[in-house]
Amino acid sequence: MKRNIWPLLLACIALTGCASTSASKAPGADLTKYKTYYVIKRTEDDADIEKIIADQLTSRGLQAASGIAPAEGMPAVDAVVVYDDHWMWDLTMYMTRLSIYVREVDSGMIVARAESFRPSLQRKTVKGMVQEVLTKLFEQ
Amino acid sequence: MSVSRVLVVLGAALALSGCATPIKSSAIVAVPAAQVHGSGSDVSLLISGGQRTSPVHWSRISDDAFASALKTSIEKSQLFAQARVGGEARYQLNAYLANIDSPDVESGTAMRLEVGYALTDAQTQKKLWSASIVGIHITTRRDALAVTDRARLALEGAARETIQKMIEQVSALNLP
Repeated sequence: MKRNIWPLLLACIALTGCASTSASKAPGADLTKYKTYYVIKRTEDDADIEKIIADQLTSRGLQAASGIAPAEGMPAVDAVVVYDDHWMWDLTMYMTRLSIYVREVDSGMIVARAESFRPSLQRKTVKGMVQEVLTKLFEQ
Repeated sequence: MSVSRVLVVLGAALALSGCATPIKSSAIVAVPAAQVHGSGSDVSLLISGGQRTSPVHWSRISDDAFASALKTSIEKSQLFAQARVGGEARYQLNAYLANIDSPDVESGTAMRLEVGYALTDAQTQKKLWSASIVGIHITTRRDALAVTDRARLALEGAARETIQKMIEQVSALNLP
């Protein structure tokens, strides 16, 4: 039995991969001009990630509110934030990928995005993931 | 199950999954079937948001591949007299590869690509048009056996769709 563990162990290591972050923005996009944000809650989100994003935007000196997508027009803000979260099960549920997008209010166009991917062995808390992605988003 | 059987199953699974390959620009060139109103001026292209393809993940589109495909598509459709990547021209067309997603569909492998396009008059710096264009393409086992190939073909189709829609919408501006 001992001899048969190694292929499985190697396969597990190969499949876990490495943590990575990435970010990009539209040509000429300038995130410093956006001072007020509205974070739209993803309907399937049970972790209230929109509140965590809004809190962390506020802690960066920006104004941010959050909630469901308003039925009657967007609040008067400079930009809208949307996100996409992916979760996996490995002993406990953990967030494996978080993508955050900044959209223009009028056109709805995405002007910047950032994301973080973390396998099970390098997992972070939701707050840690949000902080990592926002840092990547604003440092570009 | 014996070790040899497990290895055979694993080998078959790996063969069917395959390695992701970068998307070539020639695969995403789009030419609308309808008549295009062509501008007599040149356009300069600026692309961002492209990603490098990792063999262990899905195929992705690089900035260079998308720029080359956009240039060829514009010239073939005669939307502008000439298209160049970077440099100066009467018009400036920016494209931002904003989001690639693989929505769940029952009928096959789907890829969704969202590209933000913005056209500016370089002389006046006035934004003439902008749009967030989404392309969705679905492939099945008839298109390719390996799932990585189906995903690549689906992303190529989605990219062609966004370029085609962009040409149609810019054509409708009737630019001089």
